[in-house]
Amino acid sequence: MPMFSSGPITYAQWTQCLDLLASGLHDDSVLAQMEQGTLSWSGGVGPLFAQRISDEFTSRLTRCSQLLTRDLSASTDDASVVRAILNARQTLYFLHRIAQLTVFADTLRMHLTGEVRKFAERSQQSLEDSARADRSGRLRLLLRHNNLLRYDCLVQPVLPPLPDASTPTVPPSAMPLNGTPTGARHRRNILS
Amino acid sequence: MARTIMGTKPHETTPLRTKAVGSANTKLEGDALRVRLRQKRSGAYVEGMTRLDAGTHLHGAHSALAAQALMDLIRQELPDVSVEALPIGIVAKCYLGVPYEVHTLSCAGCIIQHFKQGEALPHLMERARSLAQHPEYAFIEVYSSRLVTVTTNGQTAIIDI
Amino acid sequence: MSSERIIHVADLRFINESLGSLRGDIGTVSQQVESVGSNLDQTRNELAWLKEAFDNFVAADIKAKELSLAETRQVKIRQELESTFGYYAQIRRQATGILQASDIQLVRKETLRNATEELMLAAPRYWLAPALVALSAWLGDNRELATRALAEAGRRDDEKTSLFFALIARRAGRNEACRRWLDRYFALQNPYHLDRQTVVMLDAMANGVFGADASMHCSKRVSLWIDELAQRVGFVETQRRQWSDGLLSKTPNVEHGNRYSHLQRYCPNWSALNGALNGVAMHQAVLEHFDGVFKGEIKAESSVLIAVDNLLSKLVTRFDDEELPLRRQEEMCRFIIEEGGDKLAAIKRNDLQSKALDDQVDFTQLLTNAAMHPETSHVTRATQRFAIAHSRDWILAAHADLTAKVRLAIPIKVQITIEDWTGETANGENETDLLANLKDSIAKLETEALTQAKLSGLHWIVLVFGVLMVFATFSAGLLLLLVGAACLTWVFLAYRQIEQTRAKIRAKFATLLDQSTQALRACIAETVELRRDIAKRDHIANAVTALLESISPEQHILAHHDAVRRVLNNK
Repeated sequence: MPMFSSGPITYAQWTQCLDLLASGLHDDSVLAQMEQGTLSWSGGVGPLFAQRISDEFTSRLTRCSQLLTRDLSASTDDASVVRAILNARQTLYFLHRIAQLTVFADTLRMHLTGEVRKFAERSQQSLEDSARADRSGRLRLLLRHNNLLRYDCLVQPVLPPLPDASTPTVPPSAMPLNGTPTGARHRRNILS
Repeated sequence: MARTIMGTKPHETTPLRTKAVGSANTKLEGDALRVRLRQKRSGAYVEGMTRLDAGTHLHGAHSALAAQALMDLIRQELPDVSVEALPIGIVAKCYLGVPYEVHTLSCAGCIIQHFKQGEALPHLMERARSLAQHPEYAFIEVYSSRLVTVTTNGQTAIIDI
Repeated sequence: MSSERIIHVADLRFINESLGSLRGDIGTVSQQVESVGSNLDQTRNELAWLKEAFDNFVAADIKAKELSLAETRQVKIRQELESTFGYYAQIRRQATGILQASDIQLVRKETLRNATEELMLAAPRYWLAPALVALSAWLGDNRELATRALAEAGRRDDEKTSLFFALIARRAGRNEACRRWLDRYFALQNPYHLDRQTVVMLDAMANGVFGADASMHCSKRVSLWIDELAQRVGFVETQRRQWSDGLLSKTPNVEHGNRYSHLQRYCPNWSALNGALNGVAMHQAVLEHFDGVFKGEIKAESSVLIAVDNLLSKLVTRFDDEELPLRRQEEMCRFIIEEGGDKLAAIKRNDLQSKALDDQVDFTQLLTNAAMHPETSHVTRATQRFAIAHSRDWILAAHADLTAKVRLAIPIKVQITIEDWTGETANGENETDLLANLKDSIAKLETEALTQAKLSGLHWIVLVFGVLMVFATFSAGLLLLLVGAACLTWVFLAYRQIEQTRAKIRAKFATLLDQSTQALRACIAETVELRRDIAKRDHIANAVTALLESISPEQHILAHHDAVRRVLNNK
């Protein structure tokens, strides 16, 4: 498998990298490789590369939405609903990390990040809309506490060590998105 | 058009048939030869050819022996094809790894050679180079006026040049 | 549980739909990214550009002219068909008209007789006129007239008449008569030289129009024909060639220069690459063709009457040899129009499928035409299936050959020529080397240009002279000082100018290097994508093979039986 000591440089190497990414077998090591790579964004190369990476995003997002649909329709209890959402969030988190790669040109980075966000927003909205029919409101609560939009906070626990383990903090970036600071605690309750 | 039922001989409409009877037991030519070359190759033959890599990086007498064995294999596989119609050589993908790309079995000189990337193959063999590297084909038989591709399960395809 | 049910109906469909926008947006991103890089146009030779533009213009102009010419000619040919053979049309319409009228007994026998007799007068030489007289006589129980009219129809075109009455007998439910007419028809056939209307028989058989025994009879005859043809030496090779041509006619003719614009510009063997791309694209077209033929259920006509009537009208309208030359011209015009005025491409396509409009073909060519060019051979999908199923092994062999040939035609090396620099790559793996090489070559050019821009011998002489003059001032006076100073100033100014020139040269080469590097990088990237593209399209060859291998002739003989009329086949 991974092949270059210092990340991909030539387009041919990048292609190998993207093929490996498309195989979906070594996601993390591919991402590590890509982080180290360099690519010239001069005219001609950029559009081709952008096409390739956006194809990859499209296929992953499509798969993600299919999985989410399937898992949700097969869900029998709260835990499986939550699990389905968490899985989707994991996928989004990975895509978000790729989209954030500094090697990408700014326009591409913004575009990809935006697409992931748009996908998450639409999915969340769609889930909440369909949960509205649930009179008990339990489903809505469940969805709100496991907000799909918080995929980008998954990085938080990894980077800085939590200041205080007893009081789980919601990272500031997540606050405006869901508006319920208690979300994280709820999620934990369900999982545990 | 209506066929005249009486009066004419049938071989007027099938002129090729008489010719075929005469040539079958002597020498295969033209379409008959093509039909023969199109026949599926035997498993033993394909296996023998694909093992060209193994043990043939030997030099001197061993290499010549291995080449001779392969030549016999070709003759066994195509016993009814006359000597001048047999392949000039075989070109196959080389599994020795980089920088080796393809290897050839040259029937005239009875030698096996390995070629690196960018290194030119002998005359006539060069045109089979890209096909030999295609993953679909096990090896390519090179004839003076055609190429025959052989897959791992022995299926053939003919390209006239 | 409520949550379960609600999520079940959650409408996630539009998430998938909205993914489409991701694709759309990428166009904008691409443009933005592209605008980062500048263009190499400035450094390109203006004259070459002008010539290219002119050539393009001429080519486009010729195409446009050919296109409009073809369109005009198509209209003219159709008019000619109409005016020359227009009176046939009336007779043709009456053929099924008579049958349907007599079905419901709306028209008096005298009217029928009068009408057909008038047709007889209107269309000398045409076989259908006496055939219709015979038909109306038959309906009117006038045996003597029927026999005479039949004799005349048979004299004018025995085969069509036999087939026509075989179908009519089938329509009337007289199976014995149908069988006898078919016998007569088959006795007239020679599998080496079949008329095109034989496909009507195939159509009737494949669609299950004939009764059980007639169907059996036909398929037995078909097998006999194939056996007889297969006896011939070289038969398989001929088959393979016919099918190669048939498959090859599906090769698209597309210019991929839009997607690979840099390769188109900087790659001398671009046309070979483009050809290779079109060549491997053939697999997709072939796969779609066969897939289209075998996908879905064939809708049978609701009754034998309708099915036979369709066949009858096809028989009488489509296969008159007198019209063939005009039909061929019409077909050629159609190709030119379809190829957007590219006459060469049209001729190529026409050559590959012109056999479909040959007046006489052997039986297997008939199968090939039916399978590959249904629109020119006028066959139904059931017949197409039948033909493909019977030719499966030949198609497989032809496809294997063609695949190998197409693969052989893929250029191993992609050449790249940027200004004066040339390089080549196989799969873009040597990008770093090529870039270094390009840089070296430009650096060398730069050095050369810089060495040109230096002080010349005259400058040095004047400089020495000026210095001498200045030194001579001490002994000879102020005038010489002025001369010396003038010389030195001139040299100094010249030096300054040369410095400026050198700076300009450096700047020019820096731009050149920048733009050439970008062009090279783009070429390499496009090469990589091109190879991927080719590999992807090439891979479809396996799908074609798999699809063909899954077809068996037995299956499709059965398929038409139960697809159409089970009642008839309950034996």
